[in-house]
Amino acid sequence: MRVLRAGTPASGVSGAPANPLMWLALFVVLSVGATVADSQRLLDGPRQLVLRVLAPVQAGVSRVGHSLSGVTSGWSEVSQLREENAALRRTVEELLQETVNLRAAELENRELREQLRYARANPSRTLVPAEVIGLDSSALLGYATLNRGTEAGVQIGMTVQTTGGLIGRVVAGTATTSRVLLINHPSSAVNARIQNNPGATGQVLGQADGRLVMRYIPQAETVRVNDVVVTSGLGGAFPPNVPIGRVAHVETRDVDLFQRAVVEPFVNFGRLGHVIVDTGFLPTKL
Amino acid sequence: MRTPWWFPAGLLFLAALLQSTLLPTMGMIRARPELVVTAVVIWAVLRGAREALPWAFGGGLLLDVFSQMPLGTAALALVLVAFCSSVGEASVFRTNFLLPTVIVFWASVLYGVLYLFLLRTHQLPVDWLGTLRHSVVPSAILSTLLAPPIYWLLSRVERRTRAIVPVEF
Repeated sequence: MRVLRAGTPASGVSGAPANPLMWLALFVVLSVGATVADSQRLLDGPRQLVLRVLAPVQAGVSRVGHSLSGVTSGWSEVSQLREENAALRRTVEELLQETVNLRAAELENRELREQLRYARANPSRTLVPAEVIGLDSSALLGYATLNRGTEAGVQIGMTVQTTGGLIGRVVAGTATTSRVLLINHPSSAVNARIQNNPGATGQVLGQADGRLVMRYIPQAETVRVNDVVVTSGLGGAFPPNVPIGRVAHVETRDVDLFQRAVVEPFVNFGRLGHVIVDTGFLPTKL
Repeated sequence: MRTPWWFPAGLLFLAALLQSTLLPTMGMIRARPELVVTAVVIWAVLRGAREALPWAFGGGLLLDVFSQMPLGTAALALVLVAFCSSVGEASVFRTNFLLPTVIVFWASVLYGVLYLFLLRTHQLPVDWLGTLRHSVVPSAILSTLLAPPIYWLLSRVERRTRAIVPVEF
């Protein structure tokens, strides 16, 4: 009986040794022979010829590879750019924060220099620097909180000012903080006068809108726009000659007993930072 | 039916060309799939040493020519690897793609080690540990990943060229 079955595949080499070990020995010898011949430079000619033929093929394949590489590297570059973008954003945020800190430091430095200059210009006064750490916004900027209290010698009634002008007076305090009634608060009243006209006295009152108004200026006194208003020291609540502001508008009516002037304060109450407490002055208790 | 001579020649030429020219330009510098090794090993599993050894010798010479290394270096390494891989021919699992895939991994590692050893005999400096870690093993993994499709292709060729032998009872 004769059947067909799938058998040993036909070899591509007829008459070849049947033993695989013989095959192995043959190709090992061939390989070693190639190595020896190559080391003796016997195959340089054929090798150069093959390389010359293959060079254009390799160049073409290489170009294809570079094109494909451009596509694949494009994707990797996109993700790389995303990472770089995120890193740059972080850097920008850090630099922005640093800039803000530097500006704040510059501002603080400027204020402290002004305070120092003011303290040198007024050696007779005992001044304690303080920082505004809070504002009572609910009462239309009526109060400010300072970071100095009784431990620093701050007491109720002491005057608080900046190098520019009067801010208010201390109305309450703890060991480490104190509360200041600002002069633009409606409950605040400061005895004042026109600097170049000692007779033109009055009372600077805070308004609900945060402005200052000087009232009770005698009709006989001359008050002009841009005149400087300072504390008069009358009543003993404030030391004399502390600048308050400048006259912005004067209202004079013949039927009234007194004149009235709107005062533009020297201090920007919306930007209170570093202030000075005059610990050398205590109000007179009447 | 014989395997036509141009088939292994063309296949190995293409594999060597891709491996030595195309893949490096695509960024695969240190680790790249050993296409020639994979093809030779799978053919050794399918057809045994007698057919795989000529493939190995020819493919190795092509690799040496393309990479301009001392002629016979890759050929000798590949011949030894092909012979070792041909033991898989005797296995009943050779028709399953898993066996050739596993053999491809270990054969690639063996090829890498042999190739490094042969390079060392040519007085070329070899960083054994670094090359094994960063080149040989990753290349073996890539070759293993490519083994199933190459096995699928070569097994189809193998079936078409398998001889029908009459059996007498």
